[in-house]
Amino acid sequence: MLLKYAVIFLYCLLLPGLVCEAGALCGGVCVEDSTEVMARRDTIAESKITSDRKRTTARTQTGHKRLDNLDFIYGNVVFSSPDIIKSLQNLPGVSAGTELMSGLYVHGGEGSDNLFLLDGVPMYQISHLGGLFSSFNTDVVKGLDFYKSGFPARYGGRMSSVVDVSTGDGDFEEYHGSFMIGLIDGRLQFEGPVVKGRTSFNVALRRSWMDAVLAPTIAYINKKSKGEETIGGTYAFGDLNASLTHKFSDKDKLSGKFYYGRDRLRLSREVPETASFMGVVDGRPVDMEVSGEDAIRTDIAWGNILASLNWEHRMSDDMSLKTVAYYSGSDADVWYEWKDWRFEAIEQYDAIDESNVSKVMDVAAFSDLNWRINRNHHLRAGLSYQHHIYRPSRKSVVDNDGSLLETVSGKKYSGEEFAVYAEDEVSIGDMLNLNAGLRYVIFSVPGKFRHRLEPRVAMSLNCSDNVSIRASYTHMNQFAHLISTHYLDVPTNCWLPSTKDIEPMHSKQVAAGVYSVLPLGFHLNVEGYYKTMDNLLEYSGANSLFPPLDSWESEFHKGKGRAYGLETELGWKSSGLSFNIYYTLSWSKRRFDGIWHDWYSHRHDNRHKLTLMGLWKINDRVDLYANWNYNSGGWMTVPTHIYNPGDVFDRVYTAPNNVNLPDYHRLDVGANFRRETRRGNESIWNIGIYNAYCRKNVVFVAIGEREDKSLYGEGRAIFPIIPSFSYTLKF
Amino acid sequence: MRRTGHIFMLLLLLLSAGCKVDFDLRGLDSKPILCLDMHLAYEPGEHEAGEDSYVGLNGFVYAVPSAAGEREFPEELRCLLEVYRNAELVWTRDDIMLHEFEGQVSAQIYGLTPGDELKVVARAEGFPTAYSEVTVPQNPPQMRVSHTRINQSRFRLGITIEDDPKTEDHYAFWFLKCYFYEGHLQPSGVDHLEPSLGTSEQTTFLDTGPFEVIWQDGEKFYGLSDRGFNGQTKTIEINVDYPLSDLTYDDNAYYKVGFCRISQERLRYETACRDKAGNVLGFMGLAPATFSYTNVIGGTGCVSCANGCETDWILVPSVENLI
Repeated sequence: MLLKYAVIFLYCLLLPGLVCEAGALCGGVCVEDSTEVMARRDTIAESKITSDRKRTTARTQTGHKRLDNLDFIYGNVVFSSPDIIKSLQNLPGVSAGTELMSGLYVHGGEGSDNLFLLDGVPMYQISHLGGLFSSFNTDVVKGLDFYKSGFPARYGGRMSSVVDVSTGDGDFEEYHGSFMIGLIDGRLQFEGPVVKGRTSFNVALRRSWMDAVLAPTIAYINKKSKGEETIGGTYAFGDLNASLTHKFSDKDKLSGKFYYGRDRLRLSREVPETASFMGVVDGRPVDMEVSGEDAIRTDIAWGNILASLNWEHRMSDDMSLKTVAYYSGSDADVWYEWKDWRFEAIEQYDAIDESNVSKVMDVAAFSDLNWRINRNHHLRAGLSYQHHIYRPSRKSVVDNDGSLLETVSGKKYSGEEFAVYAEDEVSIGDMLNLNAGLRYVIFSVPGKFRHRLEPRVAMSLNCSDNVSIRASYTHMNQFAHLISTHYLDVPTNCWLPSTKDIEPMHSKQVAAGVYSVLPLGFHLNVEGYYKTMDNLLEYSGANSLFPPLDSWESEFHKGKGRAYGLETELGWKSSGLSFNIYYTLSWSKRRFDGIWHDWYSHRHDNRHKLTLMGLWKINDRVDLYANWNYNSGGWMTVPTHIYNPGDVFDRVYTAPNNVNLPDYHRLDVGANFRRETRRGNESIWNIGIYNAYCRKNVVFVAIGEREDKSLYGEGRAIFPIIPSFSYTLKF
Repeated sequence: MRRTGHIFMLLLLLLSAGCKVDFDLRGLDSKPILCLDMHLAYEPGEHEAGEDSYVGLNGFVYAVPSAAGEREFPEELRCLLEVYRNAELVWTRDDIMLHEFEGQVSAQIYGLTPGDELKVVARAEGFPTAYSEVTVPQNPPQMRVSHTRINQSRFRLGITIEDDPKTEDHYAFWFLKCYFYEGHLQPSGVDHLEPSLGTSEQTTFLDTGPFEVIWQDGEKFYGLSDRGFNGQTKTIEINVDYPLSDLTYDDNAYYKVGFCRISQERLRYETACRDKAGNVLGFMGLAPATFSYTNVIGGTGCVSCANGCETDWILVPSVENLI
């Protein structure tokens, strides 16, 4: 018995937030559903820790969801590669945005309004390949906490949601790992002890190999073109997660964590050009020929580096302190060159060589105190300091027939952000729980000092063992703005801070819901929210992939937003079969007086969203899963009047986002086949089909004109049915 | 455009690989509207009372069909155009054709002075009444023009103005060139002088140099607001490349600079038109659309007014004679 509780305690220490069978809170955050953990120790062949389902009604926070590794595997496997962000996209209150991208539009917010934390360290670029894959490697991710409302005071800096991803330490006792090979990427993970029982490591690598597939294809195309033109194209992404953990004692643990992720895209097109002219050689006219080259070359590289040092110190059974120092850096470098060769008496070039670099860096530290004062009070308090550096720059060299013109522009900002918070989880009697918190934040950039107070309150009334009512009210501020001139997830955007002229974004949100455990294994949650947002930025709209750097503060309109809706979750689970139904009815509006005099729909104002998720574990060797997603179409701005006076074709826009796009729906199915290899390792074949009935979902739209001159939407669907497979070997 | 054109093309190449899905656009307004694209230019007379001063009105009235409604208009469709000065009707015309965009208007309206409030009203059957209000700008500040030869291939033009600190001003410049052949008193080959504006970080669509926006409406105008130099002496420098024309030598070439105070609305309108025309991603819903700025209530377009002056013809600094 003692051993069992020792294992439980050990596991709870490794995985904060688990509710153990005894009903005690370990680390403070409860799990949503039952969680099964297979112990790997030789001393216990199989140990099962199961949470009390009724505890799901006993939590305080609204809008909180905890997902574990299994949720990612069955949630959304794109190209047979589990994806955290796409699992979150299934949840109610979340709009996915453009198909297959890593968009996360939570309660009417933008994708840049979400706080992504990897072991407490903010991450700026959360996806690879334009959003097709998230930056989080599920091989090392043990779980995540996702907050859409009811934000605890310990989180701050973004105004729409918090995605707090935690990775696991390496195994202190044994070496093991996994190897996966999929359709377009592969992964390798390995962990084990450095000093048995004291020090462990955990390393995971991931890389795509589309470049290897593309190379022979491009070589073949170039061979067929017989030198008329040469094209080049290569893309690859990769990332590395590494951690090293040392336990000094039962009370002290030090770990170093590192993440490096990188994408690189290179494209080129070269066309040889020749020109003939009459020259003179030895006094005689001679036909001569000169050659040059027209060329377009692009090289885009972007990624993140995160490094942190974590010290966890347990002062007593009831009190612990966690201190983290970290660096988080993100950069994007977009270079392109354009050359137009011609021969007019002399050899001439028109050429442009332009480089756009955007960097953001945080050097920071925070400390969190976790103190269970008594049975009725659980105090968390902490402080953090972040030194932000924002450095976007642009260099352009234009060669206009030998006349070189160099233009350099850029900004460098440094910002200091200091925050202090305290929150108390209070139990008042058996029925009422209250999480009262306050966060005070100071943000300073040269020439401007700002401070804000952010109240965070959540309460839960347990009407019975099976039913609870929860409500929350929160304020959030965001001092970093992702400046973008378009809606594409490409690395031409840059992060910039609130300045003297740009106010920080701010949101207020109230949420309330009823959470119930029903008979026969069902649970039903209904939650509503109302959120307002201020000081939002919207680009005034011009033809540029790159945001203006010198004048960005005047090129963006300032506006506000509001979002409200109702979210419903119905779930059922048995030993082998489970399903979840998520339905959202929501509204998301914007108002920018510089654009339009009234409220209008946000482009991802999807009125209805329905997700059906099913999982059937047929036996220990085979499991099947299926997800069906539906949402009302987004919105697009279409000209209300089009005319053609003389040579000018002109469009007249009135209200923004005035046309509703077609509805979106899609079915994904998949299966995992497990077996034991001759060496006793587990191997898994995953077969998945994305968009199983090949629905043509519109990704972007042009406006077409019929013969009767009436207009219609000419949509483009990019992602048809996509079968995929992967093979995973656990060793 | 060329600077980012290839990136657009690569993106579009990837995107256009998908399947086409047509659908109806629901919820669009089906009413046609009138577009007024008019510019009024104040021409001072000899008398201070302004009796022989006039405003030259030039522009078009267009019938703009709705994207969701009838797109053809009957040939007999006419528009009534009225101009009011301080609420008093001073000019009208009722036979402006709207069929196939033939609604050109040109008139001289006498007896106006700077500071007059003008209201232009357009009415046509089946269209909402469209109107716009503008003020005749005050006289422009003094302008000084100088030039300096940079090298064998270009000279620099400096235009200095004293901005009024009390007002928020918007200016438009225009540049002309001509040739005076020996013995001739009248200029020949009068044309736009195109300065070399280099690159600008502001936009990749058009290089505007020190100006905010460039547009053509008879003259080629270079617009600028005093946002960055309110109340200060401002010298605008632009480069002009030799030769001014392939047809003639530059030793008998002349240039002149025109300059006016202009309604703020014209600069905003032209900026919006420029950005809108180039916003390829915006057309496809992949970027914010550029909205049509207008100062025409009940319709669209822009009505603006200017008050300006021109220098005399100035001899272009020759390649040989350095200044």
